[in-house]
Amino acid sequence: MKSVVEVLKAIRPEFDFTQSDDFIADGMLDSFDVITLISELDQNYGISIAGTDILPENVKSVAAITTLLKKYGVAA
Amino acid sequence: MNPLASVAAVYEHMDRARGGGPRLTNFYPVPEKLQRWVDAGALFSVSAENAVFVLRRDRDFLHLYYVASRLADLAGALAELPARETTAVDVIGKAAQIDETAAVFEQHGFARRTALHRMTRTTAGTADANEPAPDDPEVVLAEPGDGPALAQMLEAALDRHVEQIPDADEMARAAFAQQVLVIRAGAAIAGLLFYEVTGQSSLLRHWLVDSAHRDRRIGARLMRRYFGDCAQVRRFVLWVISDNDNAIDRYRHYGYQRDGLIDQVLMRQAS
Repeated sequence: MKSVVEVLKAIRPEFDFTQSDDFIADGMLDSFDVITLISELDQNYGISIAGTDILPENVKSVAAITTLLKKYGVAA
Repeated sequence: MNPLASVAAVYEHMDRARGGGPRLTNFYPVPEKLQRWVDAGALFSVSAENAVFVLRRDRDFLHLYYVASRLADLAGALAELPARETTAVDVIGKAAQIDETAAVFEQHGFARRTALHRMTRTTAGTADANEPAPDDPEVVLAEPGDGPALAQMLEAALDRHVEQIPDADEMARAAFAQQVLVIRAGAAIAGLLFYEVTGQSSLLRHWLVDSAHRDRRIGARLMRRYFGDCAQVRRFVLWVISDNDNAIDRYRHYGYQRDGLIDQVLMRQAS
């Protein structure tokens, strides 16, 4: 099972996600990347993130993603 | 079609459609752009079971944005969408993903118009990686007053149903924000390059040289200045019409490669 940073790095290897607390504002993830990220998180952690949770604020940082995963019972 | 009077109203409609589960959408709203469209009275909504359409008026036609839980919900909503106005829709995704969705639109009177491919150029995000351009005094920032001329140049060269051409007001704002590079030929604009930067990413919106000035390496000079001005950018992105081999070759020359994302544009004529 990949870590959150590893999942992010697989989508956008050109960026260092440990150096940002807002991936959207820093241009590291665009709208299409967010959709890809949700799909990858679903697959990696065996969950199904609800459509109502697919929001930029829920995926804009490692901390935000970790909080989102906790909601689905994942201790990432 | 109901007018959307606020950005909050747009998000409310989207949330209602998302409530039924994931996730078919081509709507990735940028709050600032949404606000401008709301202020211009250009946004409308059509709601159905587990689906919503946001329609944006652009000159003499509508752009259709959709949020739906499933293809069946999208199809049901399309059956209720009035066909009084010419409407364009972008179905965006990887090749394997978009054909199903495009087929639903085709079943409801839309026809494929063209496809665009996204191309990406990645760098280390340093001045060296982006090769600061030598000083070229003819490459200058456009001024807000250039807005109408810039918009006219784009409208004359591009397909407005496919390319999401900015109007004079948007070009004036972009010039004010120092997002537009130009080379002039007397009072006229010989070439332009319009781009946006978000942190470490940049989108090349338009790069155009007037056909009367194609012997001055204007395109290359604009592009070098663009890369030089964006020294901190690690990811450069653009969209190119899929059968425009000349443009695709030029972009490849600058290090852009197709990244697999496709925008299939479909249109339905007013009936």
